[in-house]
Amino acid sequence: MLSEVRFEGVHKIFGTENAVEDLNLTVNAGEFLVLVGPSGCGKTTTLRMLAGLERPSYGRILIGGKLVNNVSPRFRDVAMVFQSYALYPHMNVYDNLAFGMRARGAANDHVGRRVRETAEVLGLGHLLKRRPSELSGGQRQRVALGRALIRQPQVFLMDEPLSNLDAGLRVQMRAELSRLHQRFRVTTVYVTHDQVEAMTMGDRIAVMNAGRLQQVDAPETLYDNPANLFVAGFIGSPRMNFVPGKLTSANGRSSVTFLGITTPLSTGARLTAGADDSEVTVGIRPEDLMWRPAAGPDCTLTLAATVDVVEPMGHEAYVTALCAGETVTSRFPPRSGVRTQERVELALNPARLHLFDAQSGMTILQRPQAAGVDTLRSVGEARTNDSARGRSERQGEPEARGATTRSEEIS
Amino acid sequence: MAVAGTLGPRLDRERFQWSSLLMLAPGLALLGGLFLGPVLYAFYIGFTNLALVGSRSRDYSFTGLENVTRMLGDYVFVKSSWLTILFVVGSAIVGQSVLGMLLAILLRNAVVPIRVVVGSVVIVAWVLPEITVALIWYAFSQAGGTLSILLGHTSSNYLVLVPMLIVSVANLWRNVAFSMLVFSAGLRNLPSEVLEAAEVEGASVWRRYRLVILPLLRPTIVTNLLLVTILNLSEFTLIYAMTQGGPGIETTTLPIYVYQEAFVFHQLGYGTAISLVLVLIGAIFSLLFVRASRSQV
Repeated sequence: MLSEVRFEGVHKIFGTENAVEDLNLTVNAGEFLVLVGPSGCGKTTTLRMLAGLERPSYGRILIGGKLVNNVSPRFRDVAMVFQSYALYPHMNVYDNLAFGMRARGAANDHVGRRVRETAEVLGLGHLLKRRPSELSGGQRQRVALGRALIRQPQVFLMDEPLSNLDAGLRVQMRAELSRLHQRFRVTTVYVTHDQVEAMTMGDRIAVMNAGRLQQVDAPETLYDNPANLFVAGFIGSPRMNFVPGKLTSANGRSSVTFLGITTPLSTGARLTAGADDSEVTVGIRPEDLMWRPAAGPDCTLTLAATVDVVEPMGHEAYVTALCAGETVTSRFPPRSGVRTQERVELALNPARLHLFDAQSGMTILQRPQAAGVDTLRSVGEARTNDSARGRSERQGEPEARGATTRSEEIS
Repeated sequence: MAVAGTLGPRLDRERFQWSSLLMLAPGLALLGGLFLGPVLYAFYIGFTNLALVGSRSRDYSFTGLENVTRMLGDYVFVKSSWLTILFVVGSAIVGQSVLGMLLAILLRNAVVPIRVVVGSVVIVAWVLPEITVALIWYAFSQAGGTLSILLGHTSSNYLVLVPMLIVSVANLWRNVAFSMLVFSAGLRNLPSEVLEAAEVEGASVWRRYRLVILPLLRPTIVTNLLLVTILNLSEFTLIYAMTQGGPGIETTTLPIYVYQEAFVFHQLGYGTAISLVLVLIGAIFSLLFVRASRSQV
């Protein structure tokens, strides 16, 4: 059964501190939504409220259309994977997996069958007699996952489940989680502070900061059209460059001046009302700020800069340079041969510029392809449904097919 | 490892530094003089006919197993041993531990004002001097006391009717705070995510306690049992102040009997032999608990 999750005006206050403020968010049935943000942004609190481990101070939480504010975690039919895995240390893998089903009064032979099926799916078949202390980190992680999978809940909740794994295993488990979601299509809310996990796993990403939802969108949309400075800076590595600029308009055409150059805004881009003639923050992604010899023909702007630091990554190099008194980072091809203190020319495609209001930090540039960047106001259903559907189709996994697969294989 | 044999002695092995002996000497002397010596001496006295007064107080001799044989035929000793076990199992192991656990669980889930008030009251009972507790419970259980009024038999003296029960409950009342504190600390240290996982998985409160919380508390439970057993096995003041071992020998636990034999009947040798049995009972309980504490986690 696929269930939608909905937060309506949810607040959570601890003492005098607002952990979550006015959260309005819908997680579509069968969707994989990633909640991402820095430590203390309220993402885990949001997840815990959904699990029933914290009660919202205000607002409504609905699972499958049913109000669950006062429903105990036992009866919410959600499964949660904890950061620490939270396995029962005194039980073996079999009993850990079986605990939830037994608690719900399932018959012994049914429990046995499901444990073996789930263990098979996760490659735990040979470990059923072991205790958690006898398992490796990756195996424990699988048991925690299996404990959630086995119950066929309405919603999966995952609280940074990969953060305790080493880098290699994390990449492997990331792919595995995505595969499991493709297969079972259970509505999933996944909390992480790792933007790579967010970008690679989420159908949509919800970015939170200081208790407030900043933007909800498909990964590419979020990357290309961040709603504000926070989202722009948080998503993307290395971080987007921010430099001060000034917006002017003459003869109905707007231009922006930054880093000592002035360029008209690309045709098609539209400024939000009242944004003319103001101080702005110009955002440039490092990959859009190229080394002139490696740049394409649409990089019509050229900036002179002095190399400060070169960080070779193997497949590319991050070059930090001083340009008109500002420090900027750009991505260079590997083995470009540039050295510290060398004068270089950087190239930039004006169509890739991001503009933010210097005061509010909100984006003021709307691109033609962005169907509504001011998501703070418009985390509306029509659009979010559309973007989630668009992504499912791109991945070649229509929901109906996912649901059939799940019922065949897990029931 | 194969390499270990070829490279000579390991550099990181632990070695005793003989120079530290000088530093340890005062501690060793105190330990030997004040602890090991008296214990061994008491062990020896237990196998003699030493008396507190009279000729045997000077001319005592080693009597082999005579004290042991005497014990086996001593009706008071047998009854006393049984009462001691009853007292320790009933008042300490079952009563104090179960009630301490219940209080700890209730207080864990209680709102702050209730937690503070109940916690304080329980701890005050523990802080009261034993002699005061004895007085309170003596008065409480006398004919015309609160208990008899509550039960509607004002002429009944419950300290005479059910003396062992009354002293056990008095002891439980006083000492329950200890177990409560131990269990409260244990509950606080449980991994909260594991308990939350059990809750999200749909386990009822009873199931969570039975299958998750109590098994995880096992080391705390064993430590508590070990401590309350040792503490209660030698309980003397409260019982003696309330009943002096009576009526008859109805509350003569081994510590009371040791006192009577050694200091009332002046049979120091025999009294010491009985106290060795007390040590033996304590050792057996401790061994059982230590075995149980070998955690499987």
